Amino acid sequence: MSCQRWSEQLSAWIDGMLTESERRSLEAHLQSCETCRQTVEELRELKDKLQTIPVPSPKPEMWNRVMRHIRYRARRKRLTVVKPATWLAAAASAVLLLGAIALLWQKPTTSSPKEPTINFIVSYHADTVSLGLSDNPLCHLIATAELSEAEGHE
Amino acid sequence: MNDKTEEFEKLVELNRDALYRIAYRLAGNRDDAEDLLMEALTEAWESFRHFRLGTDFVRWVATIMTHTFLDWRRKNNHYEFVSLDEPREDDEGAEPIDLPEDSDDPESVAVKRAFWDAANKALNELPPEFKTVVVLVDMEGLSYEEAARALNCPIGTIRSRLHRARILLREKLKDWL
Repeated sequence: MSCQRWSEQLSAWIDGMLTESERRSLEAHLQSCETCRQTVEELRELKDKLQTIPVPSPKPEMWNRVMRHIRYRARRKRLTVVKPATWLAAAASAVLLLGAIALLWQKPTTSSPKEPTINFIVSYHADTVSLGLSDNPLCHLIATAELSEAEGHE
Repeated sequence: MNDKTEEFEKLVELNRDALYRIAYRLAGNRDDAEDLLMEALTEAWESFRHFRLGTDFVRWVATIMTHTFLDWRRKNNHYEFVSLDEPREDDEGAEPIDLPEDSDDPESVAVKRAFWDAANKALNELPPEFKTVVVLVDMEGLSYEEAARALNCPIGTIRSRLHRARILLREKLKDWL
């Protein structure tokens, strides 16, 4: 019988990984096959010898370099993660800013001369009224409302 | 440093010999072992939320390391064999090996070193999928099931690759067997 059929089972037999029926068949073959017995001996010796190959010590300071690299990557990752609250604050600021700009561009309505009008002025002046989102850079743009009497304009 | 990073570093510290050993055996030299450790441990840190505390940290990182190693080899087929005896230009000298206690006999030391060199060369010449199985099963003692999980393939594939790898190694190392 050709040994090729048994070849792959030889390693699994050494490792105790054959099923009961595979094991019985192979052991019967090994009784009569000198070539396969020789192969088993060599593979077993090879496996034993591979385990004796030593590993040299790591290069000096290797672990310091490895851990520094991991800490650096960890820090960088933390910095790139933006919390949902930050996104919400940014979105709210953008809405407010757009609202302020829209009001600025709105043409004064034809109101009656006696009716007061409101002019929104976007400015950075110190005497402005904060909208309460000063932590967000977008909210540094402060809208101030200046009430004026329409009659003062005309 | 937060709790998660501290926990991770503690596990690395506790298992660093085993982690380095696997990296060295896969990479084949100290420089590549260091690069492999850096990349695999960084990836392990980033996936640390998936690690179940109390399970085997080394085997978990070994799985990541084998995938990293196989990715490297797929991207860059070049592989350099470094003799254990010959210093590299970018190295401080020969890779130092702690010899076993019975190493007094110079002839026996020379024979062992010659075998280690030949075996490392033969291992590095194996297809990477074969080498990985030999390292995990024959050198690190993983079971077929564990190796199959690490490499995400059926046990039958491990069995077949391992046998073919051993046959190739036997051919290359026949003078030593």
